[in-house]
Amino acid sequence: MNPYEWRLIARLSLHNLLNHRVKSLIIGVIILMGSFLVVVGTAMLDSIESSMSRSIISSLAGHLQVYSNKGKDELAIFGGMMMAAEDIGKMPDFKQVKQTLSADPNVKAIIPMGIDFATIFSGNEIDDVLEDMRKAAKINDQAALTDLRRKLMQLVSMMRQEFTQQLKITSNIKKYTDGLKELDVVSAPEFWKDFETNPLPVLDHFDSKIAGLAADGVLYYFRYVGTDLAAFQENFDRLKIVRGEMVPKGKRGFLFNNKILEDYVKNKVARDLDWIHRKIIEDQKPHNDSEVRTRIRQNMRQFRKVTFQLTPANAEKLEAELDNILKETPRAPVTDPKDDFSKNFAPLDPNSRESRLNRKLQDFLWVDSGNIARRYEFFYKVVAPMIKLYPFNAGDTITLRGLTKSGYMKAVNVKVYGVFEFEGLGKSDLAGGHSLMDIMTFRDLYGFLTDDKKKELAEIKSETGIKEVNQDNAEAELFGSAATPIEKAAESDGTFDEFAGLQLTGQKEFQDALMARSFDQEAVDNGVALNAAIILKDPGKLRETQMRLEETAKAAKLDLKVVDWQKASGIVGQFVVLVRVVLFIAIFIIFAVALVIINNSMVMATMERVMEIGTMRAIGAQSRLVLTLFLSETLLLATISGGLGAFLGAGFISWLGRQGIPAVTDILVFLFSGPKLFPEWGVQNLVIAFAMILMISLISTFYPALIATRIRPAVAMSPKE
Amino acid sequence: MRFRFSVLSLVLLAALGGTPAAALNPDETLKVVKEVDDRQRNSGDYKALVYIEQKERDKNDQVFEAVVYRRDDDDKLLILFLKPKSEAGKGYLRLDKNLFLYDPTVGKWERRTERERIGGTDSRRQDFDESRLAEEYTSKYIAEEKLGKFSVHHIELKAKPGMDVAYPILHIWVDKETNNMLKQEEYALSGKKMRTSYYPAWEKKYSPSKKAEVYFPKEIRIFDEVEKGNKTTVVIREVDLNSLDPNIFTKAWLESKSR
Repeated sequence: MNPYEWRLIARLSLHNLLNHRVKSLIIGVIILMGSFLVVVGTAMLDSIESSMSRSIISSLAGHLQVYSNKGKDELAIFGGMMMAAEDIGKMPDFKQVKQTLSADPNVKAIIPMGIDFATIFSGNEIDDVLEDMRKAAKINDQAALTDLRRKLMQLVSMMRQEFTQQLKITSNIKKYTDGLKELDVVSAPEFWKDFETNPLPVLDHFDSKIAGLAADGVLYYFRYVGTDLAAFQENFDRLKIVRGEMVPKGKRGFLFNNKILEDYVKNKVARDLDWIHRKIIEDQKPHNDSEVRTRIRQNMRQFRKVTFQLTPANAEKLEAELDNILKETPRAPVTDPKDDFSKNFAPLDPNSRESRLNRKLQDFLWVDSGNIARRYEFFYKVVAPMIKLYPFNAGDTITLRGLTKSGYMKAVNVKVYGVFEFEGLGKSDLAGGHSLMDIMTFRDLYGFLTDDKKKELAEIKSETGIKEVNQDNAEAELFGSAATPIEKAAESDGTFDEFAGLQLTGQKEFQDALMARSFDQEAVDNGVALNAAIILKDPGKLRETQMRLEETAKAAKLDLKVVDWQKASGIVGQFVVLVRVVLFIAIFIIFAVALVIINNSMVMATMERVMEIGTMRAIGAQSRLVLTLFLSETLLLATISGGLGAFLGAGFISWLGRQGIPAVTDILVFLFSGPKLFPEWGVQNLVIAFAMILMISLISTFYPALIATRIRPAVAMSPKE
Repeated sequence: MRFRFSVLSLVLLAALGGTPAAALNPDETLKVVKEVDDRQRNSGDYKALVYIEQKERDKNDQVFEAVVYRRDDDDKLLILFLKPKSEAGKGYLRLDKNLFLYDPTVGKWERRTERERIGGTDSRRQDFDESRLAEEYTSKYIAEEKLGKFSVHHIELKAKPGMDVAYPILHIWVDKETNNMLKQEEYALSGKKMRTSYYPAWEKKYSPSKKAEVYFPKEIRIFDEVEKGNKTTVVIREVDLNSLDPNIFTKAWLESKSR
């Protein structure tokens, strides 16, 4: 077509668009919305992917992860589908891996890791006091024993109070009457008469008769990463110590994740008060919101988590302080019976100090929107210093217990140096799911089966000489016709020395020496690791570096897999893929609908324009011109509407980028790499949206345009019916 | 009519596999259960050298050698692991209704529950302790059955209210001739079968404190019914019924062995 024809088409197109305003408006709005959604959707997704990659890379994964290709499972740093730790095999010689892969020009650091689970047992309040008393008894610290005895008797007194109350409401009368009898025994002065000279029988009695009457202890279950802590801190710069200190270089030590401590380990009353405070103050929920109401009621019932920890002096002091705060912060009058929690009060015995304190504390924990801020402040200022807010604090030595790779349970003592969080991800459950530990302790706890141990086990086994029996044929083998006589006299009737040739002593001393000893970088590198994080100098060259490292590992016969941060992170990393799929399905559906609507509108418009087109054809317009005219009309409309939609989408994203989208859930904190997401758009988002919208518009117009080309001039001449 | 009834009875009997054995009445059943307990009760002290082997699918075998000390008079029990080296010195101490675990490498005691898997194996405290079936459970006779070549009483046991036991429902098969327990199935409250144990060999030894013979299972084969393929074998290698030092059943004694 010549320029004249193009000009004509352009003028005609514009004229037609204006002439069919309603049709143009409908199609234009659809195109605008489609374009807007594509820009917003793809820009948001790109922003989430970018922030999530920051979360994953800077908290635990690094840019790449390397691990054995002989394991049964894939590496899933943030946990996979299983509750247990994945079997990802092991890298028996980390030093060789480090030396080989560090030669790559784009590798900045390689940090050894081992991820596993461990448990920490914390006894009940009586167990804790008894343990301290045993320690004091060992060194004959009479002053400490006297103090602790007073605390123990305070607990006995509180238990008596609780048991007496329970007797009034329980059906299990025997449990509490027996319990009270036991409490009577230990309350009698004659029970304590030899305590100063021989405390152990008293403690044994408490262990077996009294401690079991109190609440059960707690078993905490942790996921941890054993690593080269110094290298970790250097390369994962989001690591921030919030309490205590970093484990000194070359020392064994443990760092608790703040999120775990705050959400699962902290004293339950404090934890619930934190939650209630957050809901009322930060989330602006009223105290009679059903969820908040339930939590307040629940917190009132667990007052013993505070009172059981008080020394007699603190109990007295707290009672007086509670009188003041209750007067200072009265509750608003209760109007709704649902907000009346007075039936949750334990019965009051005005003559018993424990009972009075219990009532006042319960009254204090019955908070409302008006007094929560002040009472919260009071709790942390007055109550918290009197109790143990966390069972484990910086400076404590904790006992971690884990199932070793050889199948045996193993316990290690390790010192807690501090509490950490990943900056900006403090509220995220995912980033807050792992505690950190030195790799030497990890190796002890992971307990690989050495050749020496295998030999030892085989020897023990051979001494017994028992035959293997499978369950399927156990009854036939054990009791069938060939079964040996069931009963016979024992062959040996003498005694035996179970300790002959055995050495049981010195294990604690050995472990203590290990804890005290420093280790160097050689010891860190020279051992086993399950996986390792690779930090790159230029993250933009991730793909080529990954391929190069795979080749290097293969050439060095290291049997390794090299995966990127997204794959290494497990289900979390797949989240973006999932969101992208959902977004594309949504866009596809929107465009399919748009295509049908545009197509229908155009077909109808074509029918309305039969006379016009017939006349054009009669005065010499070729079908090619008609086709071009229709397509150019749509192209013009799509360019204007699509462009406007893309422009509005970019504007909307820019506005969101300034405001920030708050992360309302813990998962979003991780995905947004902080408390807010500040999305950004890029040229690629506009180009994609524009290209897609043009394509859809042209496709949807093609059929009506084809119909138009088939209109004969005679139709325009024939009279209307 | 009478003839027809007899034929029908015979057909039914044939279908059921022969003449049914007479069921024991509740008193007789309880007597059998008490007999199972009494034969194992020493009324004094007991020391045994045991071997424990745990096999789990896709895992390394675990083997232990341990010594079990028991004082049946006041329900005390101590299990002290001797081998392998990594486990030596660890121990379980039962005092009244408490079960404590001691680990010498960390020097700590922990209170454990009745459901504790001893040393991480599928064995429980009850497998090493005095038999207290009559005291802890109520019994109901199910049937007389055949277990291999042995005629056995099949008895169902349900935990008495308030009893802290590892499994609330047991089924036991007791040899009719000797009154030794040959098989035990353990169930959760939901009715799910948890373990099946076989006692294919029993030994007896004269006890000076009981002034009679004490019976003990030479071998216990425990099969995990939840994790199929997992099994534990306990072999009692030596038994000594002489008096024990009273200090053995204290935390201090166990600590002293590894200090």
